[in-house]
Amino acid sequence: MALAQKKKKRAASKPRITRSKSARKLRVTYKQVLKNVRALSPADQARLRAELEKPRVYILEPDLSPEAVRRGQQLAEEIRKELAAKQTGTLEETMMELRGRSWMS
Amino acid sequence: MDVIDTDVFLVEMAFHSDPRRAVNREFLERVKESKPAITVYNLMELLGQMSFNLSPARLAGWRTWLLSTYHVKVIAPVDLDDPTATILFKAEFMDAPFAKMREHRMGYMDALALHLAEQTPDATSFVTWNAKHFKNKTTLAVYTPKEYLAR
Repeated sequence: MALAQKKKKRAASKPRITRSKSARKLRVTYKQVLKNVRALSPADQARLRAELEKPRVYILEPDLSPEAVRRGQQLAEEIRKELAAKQTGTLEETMMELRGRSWMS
Repeated sequence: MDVIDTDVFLVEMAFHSDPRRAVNREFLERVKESKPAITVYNLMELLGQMSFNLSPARLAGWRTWLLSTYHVKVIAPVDLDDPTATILFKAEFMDAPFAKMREHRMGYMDALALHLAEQTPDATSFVTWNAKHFKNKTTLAVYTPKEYLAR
């Protein structure tokens, strides 16, 4: 009876070991991917490149929790005061330096 | 989504005696409700300009004093919170802006920012005090903050 239970336990534990091994096998390395890509036909390589070059845009959302907004407003006010005392020149001069042309609309 | 140019934030943060400041402030208050955006290139341009007069610690808090205060999103070609994010350098930093330069005669920074804004599915307008320069050079509607408020 005890032996049968032991066998059952062993059998139950086997699939976990197998899954873990197969999960490890699924991990691919950069070298493997590169080797596989090089094995593709030139047409498929071009298709892959086109897929990778599709524009992707990511949006970083602001933290709009009341605490973050309150802290942000406080910091922005402090920074505005700090810059008011230090900033010289005009927006036109600054944008001209940054973008290289006159900045009047 | 309204995408805002660097100059609007410069007027707000640094140029307190600029004659456009009141309108600029009104615009930022109005647009806040619809959560506007700035491209990561304009963000870096703004921070670079502010770095001359601001401590590194202050500068590092941009997510709070800029994004949370003005409800601004950042548009980027990669996930900014992913430390392993990579980008196709040539497509993003050469081919796309160069195509814009050839087609519309524009500076590198303008081309980079505009290209990214145009790729953003929800972006509808670009707001800058130099609207004249950008009009007819982009698929986005272009406004000055004053024009935006008068719509």
